[in-house]
Amino acid sequence: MRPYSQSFTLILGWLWLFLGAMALHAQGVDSPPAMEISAELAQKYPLKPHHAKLSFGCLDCHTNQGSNLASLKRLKDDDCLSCHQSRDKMASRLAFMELKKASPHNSIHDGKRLHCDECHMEHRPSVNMCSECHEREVPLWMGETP
Amino acid sequence: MGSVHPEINHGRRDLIKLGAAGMGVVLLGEQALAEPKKGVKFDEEYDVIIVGSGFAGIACGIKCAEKGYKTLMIEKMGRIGGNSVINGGIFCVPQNDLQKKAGIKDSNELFIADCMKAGLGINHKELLETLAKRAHETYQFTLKYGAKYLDSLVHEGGHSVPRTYQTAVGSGAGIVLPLMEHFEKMAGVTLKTRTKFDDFVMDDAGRVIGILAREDYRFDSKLFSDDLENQSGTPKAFKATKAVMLASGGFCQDKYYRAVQDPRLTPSTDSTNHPGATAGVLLKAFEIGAVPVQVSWIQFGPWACPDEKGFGVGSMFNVNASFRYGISVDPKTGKRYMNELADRKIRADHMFAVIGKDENYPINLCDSQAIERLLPDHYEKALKAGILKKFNTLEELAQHYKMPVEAFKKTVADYNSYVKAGKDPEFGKPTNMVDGITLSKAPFYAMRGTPKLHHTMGGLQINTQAQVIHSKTHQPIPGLYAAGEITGGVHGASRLGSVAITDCLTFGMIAGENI
Repeated sequence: MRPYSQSFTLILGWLWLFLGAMALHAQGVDSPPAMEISAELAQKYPLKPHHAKLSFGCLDCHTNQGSNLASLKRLKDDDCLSCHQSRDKMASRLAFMELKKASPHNSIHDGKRLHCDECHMEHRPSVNMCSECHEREVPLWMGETP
Repeated sequence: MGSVHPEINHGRRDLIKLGAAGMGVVLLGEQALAEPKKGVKFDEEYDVIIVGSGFAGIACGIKCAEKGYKTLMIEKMGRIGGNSVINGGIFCVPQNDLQKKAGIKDSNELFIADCMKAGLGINHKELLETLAKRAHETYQFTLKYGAKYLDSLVHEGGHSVPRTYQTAVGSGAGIVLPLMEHFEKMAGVTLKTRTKFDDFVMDDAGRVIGILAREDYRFDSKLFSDDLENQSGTPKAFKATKAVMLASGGFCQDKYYRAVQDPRLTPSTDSTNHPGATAGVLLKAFEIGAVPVQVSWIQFGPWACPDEKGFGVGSMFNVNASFRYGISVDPKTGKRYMNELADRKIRADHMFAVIGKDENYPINLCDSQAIERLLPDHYEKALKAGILKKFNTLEELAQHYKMPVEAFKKTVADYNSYVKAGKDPEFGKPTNMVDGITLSKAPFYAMRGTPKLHHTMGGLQINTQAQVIHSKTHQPIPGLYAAGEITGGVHGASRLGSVAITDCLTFGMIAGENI
C-alpha cells in the first residue's frame, strides 16, 4: 500500500493532467478538428500509455502542422512544453535525483539543455542517452525512460 | 570533387530535392557538377560561422561576439559540447597560481619538454609555445565567464610537476555550460543544434565565403558511416562574410576513417568519445586543400575496462589507484609487463601486446592502502557495477582470473621489494610516485583493463594564428580558421593528459581574436 501522501500526490498529478487535457480540448479556436485515425495509422504510430490514457489524437501534439496526417513532422521541444510547461519545471520534478548527480533533466554534462526527444520517443521505444557512457550506473539511477 | 563553388552548390541543392523524389544520387551528382554557373542563394548571412560547440567553438564564439560580430554556431548533435562536456574536465596550465601557492617550480620550457617527450618529438613546437604563453590567460578567460575549479592541482601522467586544474564538477561541462550560457545571451549570436555542416562555399579567388548545411538533421549512431549515409535534414546555405571556423573535433568514432589510419581498429573497438566524433568536416577541409598533419596518430586511453562501455566507472580506479599504487599483470603469466606510469601510448602498446588476438585482458590491481587514498566515487561505483572485484587474499584473486598463483605471488613480492628499495629494475616505474604503498594490505581490488580510443592527435595544419594552411600555397586559406581536435601537430605522437582543454580553448580564443 502506498503511503497517504504519495497517493495524494498521485491523485493530484492525474487530476492536473486530466484538467490539462480538458483545457486543451476546450480551447475552441486552437482545438484540432476531430480526426478519424485509421487502425493502420494507430498501429504504426502507437502512443505511450500515459498519453493514450488521455485519448490524444495526432493533432493534439502535432500542432501548427496542418491537418494532413500524411505530412506531420517531428515535434519541437516547445510542442512538448506546451503541456509540460518548462525545462525548469521538468528539472524540479526530478530534483531529488540531483542528490546522486543523476537527474537527466539537469545533469552535470548538459544542464537543462537536452532536447526532449534525445531520450523520449512517442511512437517507438524511448532510449536513455546517459547509457552511452554510464551503462552500468543508469540501472542504479533510474528506471525505464517513459 | 573538390571545393563546392557557388554554381555547383546550386545544382547540389536541386540534387537533394530531386533525391527526395526518388532519383539516383550518383546520376544526379554528375548532373550537378555539369550545372552552368549560378550564384548560391544564401538563406542566411552572418559574419562568422563556427562549426562545433565544444571548447574550441565556444571560446571562438565568445571572442567573436565580444567584437560585435553576428555569429552562427552550428552543432550536428542534439546536445552541445561533444566530447567537451563528457570528459573529466582537467585543464593543464603551466606556471599557474596554485603552483605558485604550493611552491611548485614550473616553466614553459619544462611544459614543452614534457609534451615533446610524450609526443616523440614530432610536435609542432611553435604551437606548444603559443599554448605555454597563453594558457594562463585562457584559464582567466574561463573564470571570467563562470567556470569553477577545485583549489588543488592534479599530477597527470607524463607531466614533470603537478600543473593541472580540475573543474569543480569533475567534467569539462563545468567550463562549456557556463560559457555557453554567457555566449547565448550575447548580442548577434545564433546557436543551431542538429544542424550539420555539409560543404564549404568558395568564391573564385579561393576564399571560404560560407557553408552548406542541413537543419533538423538527426545523427544516427546505428549507421556505419553517418557522414556518408545519413540523408536527414533540410538543406540550407549560410554566408560567412568574415570567416568559417572549424571546431568539430576528432574522429575516434569514425569507423571508416580511423581504420584507414590504423588497421588494427575494428568497428567494435570501443572509444571514450561521444558517438558523433567523425571525420566529415576534416575530410571536407582536406578537399579544399587543407594540409593534413599526423593523421594516423590516434591515442588510446590505457585506463579503461573491457567489461563496460566507454570511459565508464572503471577508468578512474585505474587512473588513481591501480596504475599508481598497484600493478598490471598478464593473466596468462601472472607477471607484470610494463611501467604502469608510462605515458598513454607506451602503456596502450604494451597492453595490446598482452591482449593479443584472444582477448587476454590484463588485470589491474591494488591493495586497501591504495583504496584508502581514493575519493569514494573512484571505486564505489565500479564495485557496485560489478566490474571491480574485491578479494581477501592474493590467491583468491589469482584463481578468479585463472592466473598461475605462484608466479603471481612472486610478481607481487618482487614489486613490493622494488617499492621498498625505491627502484624498479624490471620496468622502471617511478617508485617515488607511489608513496611507499606496496601490495600488502587485504582486501585486494582488481579489474580487467583495456585501452580505448581516446583522442586523434592529427588533423588540419594551422599556424599560430589558428589559420588553416593550404597545400598548394603553404599560406592560409582565406576565410578559414580551425582549433581543437580537428587540428594536428600540437600533441605530436601522443597527447599528455589535460593538455587537450588547454589546446582547444586557447586556439579557439586565438581564432576569435584573429577573425
